[in-house]
Amino acid sequence: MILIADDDSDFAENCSMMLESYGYDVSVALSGSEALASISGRQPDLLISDCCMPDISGVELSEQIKARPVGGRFPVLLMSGSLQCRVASGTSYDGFLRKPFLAEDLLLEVRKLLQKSAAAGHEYKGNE
Amino acid sequence: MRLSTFIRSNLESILQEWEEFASTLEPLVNANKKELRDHAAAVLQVIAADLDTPQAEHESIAKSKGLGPQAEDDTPAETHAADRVAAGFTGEQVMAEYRALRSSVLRLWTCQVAVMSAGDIQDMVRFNEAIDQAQTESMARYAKMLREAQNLFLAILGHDVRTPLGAISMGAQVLLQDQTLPSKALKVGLRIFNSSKRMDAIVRDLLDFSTSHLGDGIPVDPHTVDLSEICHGVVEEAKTFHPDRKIDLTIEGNATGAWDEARMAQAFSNLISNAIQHGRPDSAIKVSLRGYLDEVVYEVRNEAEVIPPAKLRTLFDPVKRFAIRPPSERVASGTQNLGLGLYVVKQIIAAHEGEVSVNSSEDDGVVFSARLPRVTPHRRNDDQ
Repeated sequence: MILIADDDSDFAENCSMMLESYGYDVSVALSGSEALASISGRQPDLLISDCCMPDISGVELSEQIKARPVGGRFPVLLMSGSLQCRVASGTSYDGFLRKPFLAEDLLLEVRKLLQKSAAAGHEYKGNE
Repeated sequence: MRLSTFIRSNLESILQEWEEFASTLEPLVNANKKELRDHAAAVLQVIAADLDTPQAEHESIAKSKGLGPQAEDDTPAETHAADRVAAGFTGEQVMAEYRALRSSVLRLWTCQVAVMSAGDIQDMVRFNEAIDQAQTESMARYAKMLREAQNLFLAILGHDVRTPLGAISMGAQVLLQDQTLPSKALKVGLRIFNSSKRMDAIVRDLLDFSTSHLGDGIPVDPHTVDLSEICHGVVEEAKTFHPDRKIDLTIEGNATGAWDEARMAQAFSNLISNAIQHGRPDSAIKVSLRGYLDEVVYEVRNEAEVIPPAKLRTLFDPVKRFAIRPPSERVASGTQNLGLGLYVVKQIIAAHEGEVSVNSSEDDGVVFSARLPRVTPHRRNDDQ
């Protein structure tokens, strides 16, 4: 399952529709805390998160996920609409897309990160 | 009495007089006396101490130009500027405060000097230099704070616009990949997608314009790249989004060197977009990239009406272009685009130590040429 976390519901839903049309199982969270609740219920194979959310940012989510014990970690793809947004060096994340982006760039990143996750022994359980 | 002694002995009366003037400035009409005096006393104390310090001629000249020695900590003049920004002062009002301070000190002092000696004149010159230095420090801090605030404001604006733009763009792409939709819906989807791309480019150019226009330039991160690959990609993209336009590409020679890949793509793309927008729709756009020994030359040629020489001179500077426009044309300008793309092209090429030029004639049409030095030692990040 791919979890999309973004406080812009229009963007999150459109991204979800795009990925679903390619056969992915997608869930949407509209805040950082909603994303954490979703993760504790069912661990996703990939988190796609906006960098800037009012409660818990995508960067903080990524830090929390990367600090989890082996087996509880999964790839994180961050997104931002800010040209100035530079994720601080040392932050753990696996990919970055600047909004707006092309669907083909999103799909490329998703495939790459799911392969990375599978290669690390964490088999992707989606249905592509 | 030396001017420094006079300032220390009459600080209260100087501040009183200055205060009366400052309280007439709009943001301070309702301010209390403590707020009015804040750093003026500190500025005067620093100046008085400075007057007592021996000074060589070159130091005197430097100070009069506002190039005096820089303190590690904030000077009272810099702290004063920061407070004035917070209080809503304009730059002119901060300048007026210094004018009033200079006037108050010199007027009260000269009233007490019956005959001016050479030492008094020297004191007066040094006082003026010190006030100039303080004023320069204040204005530099004031401008820096406003510049930083403006950059932050634009960054937030860019983010706020890009977020819904991302939703529009992704929504259009969802529609476009649904082949069950009727062709009319797909056409509308394509138009929405193309428009969102144009808006994204406008926002990007506007942010680049603002950043570079405020003095920071466009940042580049050069690494070894092949410009011919970038050129191919940009031309293919332009053909995809403008299938009705003919775009010919010619590449000759080696085009490898140290450049910022994303920025070069932006510059190349902006020049092609400009040709698409202003060229004759039925004529081909000719794009070429030629690698020479020391440089690579990128050229975009399109057929169009001859651009008058006066307009050619300001083509890369949208502010000047608008400034010299007669009032009758300015109303019509409201319906035209800002033309920031060419400004951004010039900044990107300049950041790579290259040059961009434009020529327009009946025979050759409009030709934009960007000359890019192939290798500049300090830009070879890859080799470090």
